Amino acid sequence: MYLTPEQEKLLQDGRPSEQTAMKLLVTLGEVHGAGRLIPVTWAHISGASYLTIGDTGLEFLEDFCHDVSVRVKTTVNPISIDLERWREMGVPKEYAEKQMKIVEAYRGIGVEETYSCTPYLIGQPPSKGEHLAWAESSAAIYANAVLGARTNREGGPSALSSAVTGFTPEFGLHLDENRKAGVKVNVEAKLGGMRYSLLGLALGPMLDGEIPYFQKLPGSDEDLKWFGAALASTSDATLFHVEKRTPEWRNSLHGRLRTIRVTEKDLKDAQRSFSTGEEADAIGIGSPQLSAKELEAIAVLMKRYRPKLPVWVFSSRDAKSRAGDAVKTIERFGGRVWADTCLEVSPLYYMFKTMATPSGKGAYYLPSLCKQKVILEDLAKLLRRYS
Amino acid sequence: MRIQAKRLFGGRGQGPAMVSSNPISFLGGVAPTTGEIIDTHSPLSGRNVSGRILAFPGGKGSTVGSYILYGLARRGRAPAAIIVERPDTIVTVGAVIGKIPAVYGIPPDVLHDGEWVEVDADKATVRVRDVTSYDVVTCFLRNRGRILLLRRSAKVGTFQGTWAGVSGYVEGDEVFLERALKEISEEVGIADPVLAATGEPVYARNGDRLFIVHPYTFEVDTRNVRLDWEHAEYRWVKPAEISAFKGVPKLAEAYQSAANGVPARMANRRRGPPP
Repeated sequence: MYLTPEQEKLLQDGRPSEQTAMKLLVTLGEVHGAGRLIPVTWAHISGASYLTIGDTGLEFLEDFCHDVSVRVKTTVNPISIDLERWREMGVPKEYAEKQMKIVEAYRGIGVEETYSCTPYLIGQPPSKGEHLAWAESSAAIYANAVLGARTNREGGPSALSSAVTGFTPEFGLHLDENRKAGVKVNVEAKLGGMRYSLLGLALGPMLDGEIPYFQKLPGSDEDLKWFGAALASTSDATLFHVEKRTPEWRNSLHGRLRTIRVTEKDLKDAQRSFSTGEEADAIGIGSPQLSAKELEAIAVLMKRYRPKLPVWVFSSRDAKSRAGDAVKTIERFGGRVWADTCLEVSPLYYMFKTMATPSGKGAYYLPSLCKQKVILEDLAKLLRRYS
Repeated sequence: MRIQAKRLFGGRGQGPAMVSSNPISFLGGVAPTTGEIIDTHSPLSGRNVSGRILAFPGGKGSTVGSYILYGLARRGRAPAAIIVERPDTIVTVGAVIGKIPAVYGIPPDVLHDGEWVEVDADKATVRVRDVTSYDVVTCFLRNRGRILLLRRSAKVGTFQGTWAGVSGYVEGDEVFLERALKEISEEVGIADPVLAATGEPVYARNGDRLFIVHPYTFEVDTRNVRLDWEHAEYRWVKPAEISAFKGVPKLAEAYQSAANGVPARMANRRRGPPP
């Protein structure tokens, strides 16, 4: 791989962790046939939750972070607790202390402490054509598809390496030729609400590594967030195109493509196969975290239905601060709005065994990460059922 | 034998091979403090990766598996070296952050479990002292979509009675492609074959011998075959039928590699312009 003199110097004479970071980027690049390293404007790091990375992840971060600083804008994925209110989450002190060590490691290298899986909703979002190194599959697919920015689906260590060096290997979705559609998708089912999550869950296993192209996919940016998060859970898709909607649809079609049909039955099958629970202990809304606008919508529903079981809502500290009234309303009617963490990376097992959620990504990960049985259902229906 | 792999992370390691034909999930599959394989579904369950030359097809499961390799290395419990067939992100990241010597491109069945293996990841070589390797060319001749298979006679030294492409040992410093052309002329008497594609090598381990098979496809304009003493029979078959024949080891894999190989036009260009 070709390295500039500046990159070569970082690899040979950088601090130990910078050398490790460069070695990691160069090795990943060589394995994937990249010709060079390119600058990124923004790194988004995953692997911040003690629930997911555990003691060995913490060890790595403490070793790695002690002698480096970030060289580009760097945001961080959700951790496993609300930093201000973790005691209310039923989390033992020893657990919170481990999590705090991870926070301190990241703080030490100068990240923006967003603790959010929706970095594109905080401040100025990335522009079309901008090169990023984003871990967090739901954020990477959103940045590529909805914003037209360019990132591969990074892992925690590779995004961290990009953060402290400012580079990423140029392969995959950084290159024009790898951003073309590979399959057309016809949705022959009603859409709306949770059904965007179901569409993502159902479509994933039907793909064979191709980038999907929709002639029609109505719905808001929020709907595409839920769809993309679910799709990225059941497949390695990190980009999709929607005709007359997403930034790159015009140049994305070439040649004859096969067509996949997703039917009403496919959506119902997905809902059934991810619903493993009978009676919910709580309703969990998040994964990805909710925007300020979504918090306002939930406040209206909470006031209308006044549910009788715990409703845990996961958002970013940023969105929470911009939807203060909505947060108050949700909490007045029995809900809890957590920041810094998210549905399937928090230790729900201290409190609950069966979680009802409208999130497809949540339904996918809750059983393995949080030992939960799941009821996957539309939010309004859930709130009505438990009112 | 000393075979050439590709470097994932530098350094050297030697030890007894631990061979897994299945992908390994490090998170939940390997105990991060001891190196014991705790995945009860794994055939290696209960064994320990520490100090072993771990040969496997690739990682699977959570990307947190990279940190497990790091945790092992930090405690001196990592494998002495890693030989991975397909370098996925989990294993690549784990090898780099754990500074574990690692190479890729070699399938695990090249090694026998328990034998002593030396890995020089700086040079990307894998060495087993008591095993001898042989470079072999194998040519799949294609005519109007059908592929020529030959049944080896009773007079040849290896794999008598099994089906194969046109094959031969590479001798000394001979250029592989020249050996291939020579074999086609001698074994089936077909002139002017046109190289269509060159495949990646396929490895066939047989006791203390390792055959490194270099596969090619050629287009030929005739189905007239003149056999020599090395073969008893021939057939022009459809590609999908190859796996149904009782072939030499890795016959179907060699064909797949040749069929998916680098097209000749590009292979020529790669060598650069003539002097």
